[in-house]
Amino acid sequence: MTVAVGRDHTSVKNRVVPAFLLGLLALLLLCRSVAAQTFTELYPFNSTGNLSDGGTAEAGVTRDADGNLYGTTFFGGAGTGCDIYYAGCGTVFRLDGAGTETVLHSFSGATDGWNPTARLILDAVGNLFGTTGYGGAFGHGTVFKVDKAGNEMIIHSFAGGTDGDRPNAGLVQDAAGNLYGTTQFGGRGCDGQGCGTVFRIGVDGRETVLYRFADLPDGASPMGGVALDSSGNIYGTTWLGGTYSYGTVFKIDMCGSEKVLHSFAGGSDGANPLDAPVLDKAGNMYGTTAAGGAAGGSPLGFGILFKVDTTGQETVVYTFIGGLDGANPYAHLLVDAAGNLYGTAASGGVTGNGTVFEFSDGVLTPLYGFSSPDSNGQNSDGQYPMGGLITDSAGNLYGTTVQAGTNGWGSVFEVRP
Amino acid sequence: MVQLRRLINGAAISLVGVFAVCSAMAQTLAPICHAKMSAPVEVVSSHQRSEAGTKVQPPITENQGFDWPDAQISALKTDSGYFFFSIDAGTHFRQLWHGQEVGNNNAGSVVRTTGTLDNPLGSEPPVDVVIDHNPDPKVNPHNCDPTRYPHSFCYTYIGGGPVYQVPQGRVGAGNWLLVYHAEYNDPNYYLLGLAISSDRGEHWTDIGEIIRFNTPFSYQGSPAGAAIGDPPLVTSPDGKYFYIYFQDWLKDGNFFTMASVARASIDSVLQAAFGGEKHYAAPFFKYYQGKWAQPGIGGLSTELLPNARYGGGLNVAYNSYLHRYMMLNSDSQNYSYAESIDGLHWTDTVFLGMLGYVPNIAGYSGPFGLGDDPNILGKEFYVYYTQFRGPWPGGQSVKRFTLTCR
Repeated sequence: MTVAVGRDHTSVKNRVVPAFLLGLLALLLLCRSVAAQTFTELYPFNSTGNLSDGGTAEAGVTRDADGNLYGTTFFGGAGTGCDIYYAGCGTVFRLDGAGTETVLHSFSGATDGWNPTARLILDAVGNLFGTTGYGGAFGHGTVFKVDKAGNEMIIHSFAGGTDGDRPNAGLVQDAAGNLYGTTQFGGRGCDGQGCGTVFRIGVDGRETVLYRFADLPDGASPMGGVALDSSGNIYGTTWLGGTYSYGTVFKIDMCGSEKVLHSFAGGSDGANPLDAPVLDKAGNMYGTTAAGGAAGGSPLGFGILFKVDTTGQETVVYTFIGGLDGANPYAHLLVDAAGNLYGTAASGGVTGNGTVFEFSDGVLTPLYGFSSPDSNGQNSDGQYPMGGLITDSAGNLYGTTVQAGTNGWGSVFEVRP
Repeated sequence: MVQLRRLINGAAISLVGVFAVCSAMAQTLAPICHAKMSAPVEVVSSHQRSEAGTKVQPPITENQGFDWPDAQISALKTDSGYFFFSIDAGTHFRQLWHGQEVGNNNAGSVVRTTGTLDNPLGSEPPVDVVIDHNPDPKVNPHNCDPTRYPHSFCYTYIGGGPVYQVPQGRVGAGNWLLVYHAEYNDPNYYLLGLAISSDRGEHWTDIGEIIRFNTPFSYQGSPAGAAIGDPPLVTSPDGKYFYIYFQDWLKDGNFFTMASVARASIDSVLQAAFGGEKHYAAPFFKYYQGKWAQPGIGGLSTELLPNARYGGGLNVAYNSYLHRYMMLNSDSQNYSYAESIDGLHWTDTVFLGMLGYVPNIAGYSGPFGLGDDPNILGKEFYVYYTQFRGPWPGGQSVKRFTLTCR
């Protein structure tokens, strides 16, 4: 049976992608045309033909000083014990400057976790840190480390309950080496499921729950991890909960006190943020909401870019139209030294398969629109960039797509603006 | 407005008044639920679904696996738990099983599982049976075996979930009546039909179509934008009719509706289905421009949600806490709802939140009451849906969230 789609949607192979036909004229007034750029598919997953190299990279990549890229894949690898099994339980991979991919760790689907969805971070000596939302000693997810040799070590297995459950977001590290993250469930409230937590893992590996959400008014289901400022304050978003149930932007100070900076009302101010905000040099926060933001003559909301200034005032800085500019930005933004923002929209764009965009001086410029896959689910660039972007010293942007690409299982890409 | 002016004469003033009341009702009816959506929980994992596929009866005959649930989950409450119903989208080839020929060489089926609200898959082997052809080929000539009749026009898909148990005191008491979804490719359209079972879902017999799109859609590699779904039968406010809500595909240039409705009297449906030696579907009539006169098979229909936001698949159920009907809408990403007193005039849709994320969409949602009748909602109720993950089929699971009226 065909999956339902809305009035402004089309369906392809039983999957839903917004058609983004409305508002194209209005879009011309709100964002620049697609800028000249160079797109390169750096690596198409499933190059091995059996997914042993991974597939479906949801989280983007991180980069070391030598130019190697690191990331995770949800599927693929050599594991067999996971619940959502598709030729493996996910991987941690490295892609070198020559385009050679190496699987550093294949999740087995047991105590080492499975199906990672989060971005990785690197420490000064080249260790990678990440999370799996599933598996571990108690089945409620893990925080793991993978060293340069590819050895994986579980730093913390979540026990569920008050400890937290389903850490499906990326980590951040402070100057002292402590790791910070979120769990979608666990903690307290939400009919026993738990409304989620913010946690810290000290350099000694001990985990501390810094905050347990209660749904109202502070939010529920933080999905995107956190950001830190130089004073040690923690900032993040919740997908649900808050005054209007459409999610929140929150701050937790050094004393562990939480403050709701904004409760999304689900209208023009956006709804359902999925990733953490980023901070500019002045301390302003920028983030995305996956939904809401109805404007431009369309009854649908395709998400927004928002700013929360140092006083806690939220401002919508851009409302997605669902046209060439993209739709449904799921991921965190990248802010450069000049204060320009870069990001991805998981859908929308020229063919509805997602975009890479720049937002500067109040104007959004689509840098790249992904192409439609063929009947085999393949194309030359990828489809649906769900993760965020990183940059190098030359300003090149790097990210991942979850589907299509040359071999149909997503790609690692580079955009040179 | 010009038409209204022409109508204003002595006899028509009261009619205008009725229109005005209805129009005002449509415009001013405000939602009262103020629903709050919880975070979803997984009630059937991908692995559990896959494992259950190794136990289904009759066994699966092709390698696509247990492609369930390919429609919203519906249920009947039993003394010990629930019977849950939905569709396995896989092809069910004809096979000899326990001395009987089973399977219809079509995609789709009716899956009955025995479980609880927290585990609708349960531990018993799912019963995964097809909808058998009616013994009288005139009842539904389109439902034929595509391998036996390769040059005939047969459904490419037929399966169903929503089950109505005929209550005591009515014709056919104790029997089950199922709404099925079918697909037909030449010309291309989706449709709804009825099937009956007298043995609690071990066998189902087709009794014919009741709803078909106003016009076929062009099948050029993509399905229609309008998903007719597999909706349940809903009792009308006066208790005399079955209402059924669906998206229609129109030839008048509006492409498709977000919500249309058709009805048939309950007496006529039960009499036709169970009252005689032959079993067939009573005709349904679509609601169009204030009348229930358009044929269910191919007739025109009125848009019930002209200003809908976030529409798509829809499901209607009565909410005894609100004393209103509730319509849950989803485009497999965004979820919303609307309310109605009479089942015809609806509030504007209220956005609930974004639950599905391309390509990990959240489809086939259906509301589920927590009382004795899962078709009757209360202050708090569940919504089950299929969570897609990875290539289809293979990674889907079943999740559930709670909606609470505040």
